[in-house]
Amino acid sequence: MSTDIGLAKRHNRATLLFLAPALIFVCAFVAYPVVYAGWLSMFEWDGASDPVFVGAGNFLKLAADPVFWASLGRNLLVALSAIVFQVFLALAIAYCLVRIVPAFSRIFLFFYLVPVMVSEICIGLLWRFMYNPYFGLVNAALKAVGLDSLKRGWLGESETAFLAVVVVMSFTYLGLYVLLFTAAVRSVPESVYEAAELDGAGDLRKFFSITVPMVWDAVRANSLLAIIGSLKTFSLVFVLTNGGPSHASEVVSTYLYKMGFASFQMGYAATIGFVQMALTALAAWIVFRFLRRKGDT
Amino acid sequence: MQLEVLHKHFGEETVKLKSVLIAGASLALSTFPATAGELTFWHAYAGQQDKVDFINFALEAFAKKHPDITLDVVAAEQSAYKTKLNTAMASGNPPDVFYTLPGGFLNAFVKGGQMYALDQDLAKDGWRESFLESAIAQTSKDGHTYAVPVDVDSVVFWYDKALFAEKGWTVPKTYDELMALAEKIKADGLVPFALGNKDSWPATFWFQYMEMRFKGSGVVASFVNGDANASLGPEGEKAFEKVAEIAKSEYFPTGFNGMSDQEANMLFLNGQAAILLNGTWQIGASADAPEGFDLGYFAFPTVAGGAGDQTDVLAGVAASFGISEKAENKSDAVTLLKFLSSPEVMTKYVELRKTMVTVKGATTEAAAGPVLYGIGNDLMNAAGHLDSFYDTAMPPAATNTYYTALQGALDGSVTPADAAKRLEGALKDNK
Amino acid sequence: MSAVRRWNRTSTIVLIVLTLHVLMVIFPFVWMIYSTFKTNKEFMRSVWSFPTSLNFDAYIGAWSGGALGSYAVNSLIIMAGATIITVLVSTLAGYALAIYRPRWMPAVELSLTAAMAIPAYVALVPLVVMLRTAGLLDTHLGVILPTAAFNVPVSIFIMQAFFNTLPRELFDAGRVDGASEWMIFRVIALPIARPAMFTVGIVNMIWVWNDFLFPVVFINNPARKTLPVGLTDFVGEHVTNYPVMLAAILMAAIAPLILFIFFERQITAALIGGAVKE
Repeated sequence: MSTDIGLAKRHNRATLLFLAPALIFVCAFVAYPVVYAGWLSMFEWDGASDPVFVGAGNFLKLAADPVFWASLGRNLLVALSAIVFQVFLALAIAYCLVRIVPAFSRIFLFFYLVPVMVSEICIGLLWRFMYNPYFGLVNAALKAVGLDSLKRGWLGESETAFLAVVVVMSFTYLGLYVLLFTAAVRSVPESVYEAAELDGAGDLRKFFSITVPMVWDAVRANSLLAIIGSLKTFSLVFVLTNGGPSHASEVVSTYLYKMGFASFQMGYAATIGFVQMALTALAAWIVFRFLRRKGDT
Repeated sequence: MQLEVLHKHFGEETVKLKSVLIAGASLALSTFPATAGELTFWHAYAGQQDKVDFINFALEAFAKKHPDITLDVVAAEQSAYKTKLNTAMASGNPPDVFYTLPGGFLNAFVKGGQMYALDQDLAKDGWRESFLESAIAQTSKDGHTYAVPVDVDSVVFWYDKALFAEKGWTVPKTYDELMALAEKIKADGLVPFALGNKDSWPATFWFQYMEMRFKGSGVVASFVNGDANASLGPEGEKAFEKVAEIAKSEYFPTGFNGMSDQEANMLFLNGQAAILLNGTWQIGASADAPEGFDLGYFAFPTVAGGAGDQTDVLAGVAASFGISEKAENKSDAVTLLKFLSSPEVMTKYVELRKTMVTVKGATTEAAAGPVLYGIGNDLMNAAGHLDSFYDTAMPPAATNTYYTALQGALDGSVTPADAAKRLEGALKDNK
Repeated sequence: MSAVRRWNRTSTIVLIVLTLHVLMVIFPFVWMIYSTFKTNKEFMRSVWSFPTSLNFDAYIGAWSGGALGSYAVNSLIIMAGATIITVLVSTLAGYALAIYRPRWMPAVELSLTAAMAIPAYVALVPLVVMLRTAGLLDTHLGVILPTAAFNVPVSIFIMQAFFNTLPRELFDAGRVDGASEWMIFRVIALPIARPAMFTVGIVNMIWVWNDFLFPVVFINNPARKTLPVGLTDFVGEHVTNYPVMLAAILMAAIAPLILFIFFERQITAALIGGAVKE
């Protein structure tokens, strides 16, 4: 009994010591801005004059702001598409690379990683050229395969702008997850597959029944990365469409940037940031719990 | 002198007092980084070769002429610059001398008491008189001037004379002629008007000229000046309508709302689009045109029945430099501004950047080249009024509404009436 | 892997599909490379055509137009600093959360989740004020610390998830022997955690290398500019020299790519954690 209490004490002390660096860091550089954002959201401020107190005014404005909610919806769509087309697709690709065409895995992995390492300015520029209705390759490719009718103004039309951006995201960030999953897939023991093969399992069966469950931790971690990245996504949207046309591809971070730095409405921008943070935290919390494996607390 | 008095009366104590005072003074000085002869200077002349060439020239020349003043220079490309400057301003530590857009951007800083008024300095040595009046007006508010205007951009229609000659097209003088020409161009398989509206400002030239032709110049200026009668008028809705019509007639490229201005320029230079309504920076932007391209311009045509002066030209100050109210070393800062706006530096600006400047007489024919000089001399001098850019003049919050409403009107998602209402509302809101 | 997989029809199909996919992914970069050999005039003529001759002007322009070498060094310093701090701090914290499971863990987790979600733009002004007061504005450390702080929460969760997969007995054994908590961590936990630490390390390196916002706002001294910021020097407001800009981007991307080529084996090995379990 006494050793239990002693142990608990030791653990508590160790916990505090181990967590201290992280908590100090986060408190100093993140907590203060969060508190500041919360405080600033109660004011109207153009960044140059004195702030004007408006209490809950900004929050009410935000609640009634269709652009914000539409943007938030788009962030969720980005997250969803990221889970499917980046995380799960990457897992499938990793499986193929490791188990089906292992001789080519190194070179394919390298190629998948190239977009990840190149600056987003370049990717944005490149895809703008690709989507250009006149000299872009997307429309040229469609014409070449006879799908002329599918040609569009892509980034310039409200119906297709957001979709076009999401496609770019799928191509660009995929490589990172392929890399992470390759390692996870490689760590699944061969013996498990051998046992399944004896039962006559084909690749699809093996993938879904063995690989996916065994790398579930990696799936969770990578999904978390993907979701957080999606909720904060900024550069590609900014470079490709700047949220346009007329807010058709607006996401929360570009809207925040517009409010804060283009419109000089820093109080409202802080409100957007604060509310986004609260909603995101809630959503991430829920998703994380949902993805939790049985047996974890 | 006080120290000597003390010395006479207090002997030993004064030594202590002196050291305390010196310690105190050096402590005070150390908390204020800038001392006499040092200035922080922020600018956005980066990213384009001509901008870089100019600023390098100016800074070198300044160092030679005023070796006693050291400049701590920070440069950033245009959009990154705005983020940096706003953050510096909002965090309470703006640079001493900095580049700023005139109009709403500058006025936000003025409203916050962040800008040093240049009235007294301008009054000396005829400095104020060296500027074009219309230019100085754009960096002034309520009778005080807060920044020094540098260059003037004006918007005209650009075309390839060679292409027009080949196709037998003539330059239109009236709006109806322009539309007829557009129809001909479209029938020929080319895009009539190049437009890349991803960043929203290119389309504003179309809207503003329509409003200018229909109603007259100074519409937004009257809002900004707090005129109680300021209004877009029914002409505002008509202007949105007309621009929406052009879009619907497919005279603009497909997907123009997502195309960048530079992509539209490519279409124009490569002869895929025939006409481009753009600022005088188009001269520099046409440098990489193919062989045989002959850049020409024509004025925005007259609109039958329009109440505005049909010779008005859309032209405004693009860049200006101001001094922060918090700057310690204001006299050196003024010296820097005086230097930058001196005729020699300004003429070099014209030569390197092919843009008109705000200093009288500095836009010489030699420096400007035939095209620019023609626009400045023939078009602008003959203009009834020069109307400055709406999106720069209005408060930043209103600009956002303006851009969105216009993009919406162009792609049909917002009705012209609604667009006009939104814009009017935004202008009234944000004085 | 002891069994070598037989090449069958599935393999062929997969190979074809993957090749097509990869081609779509990398074609843009092939374009970037051959475009750097054109002049801007050629580029404006046709964005996609092959260059008529090998013109190296773009590379000369890119190298002399900016100070790409110094930008790369700055990026490297900041990347190394932020990554090392993040990996160390998050490993410690992730371990503590997974193994010790304090009662107040939900509060910590919720706070970290909130910290993950805050958009960086909102934090700009308070961070600038903080850094200025601490005299860290315009320094490498002034970028490293906030960057690490923003990446720490996600990294903690990854490490926590990893440590959660380890059996508890592993650590209890050390305790029975009378080892201190710190020794248990250092001798038992750290070696096993290498794959996860590597994962966190690589992800962070990529994020920090490409990070734009903090470096552009917190650093004024041109000598301390990082690559992403320096690359904007090649983007013009109305006119851009595309081959030069692409050459600059290519040179900026070369460093991480070469590093990856050389260290790929080690990286994948570290990510797996050594020998594959049989």
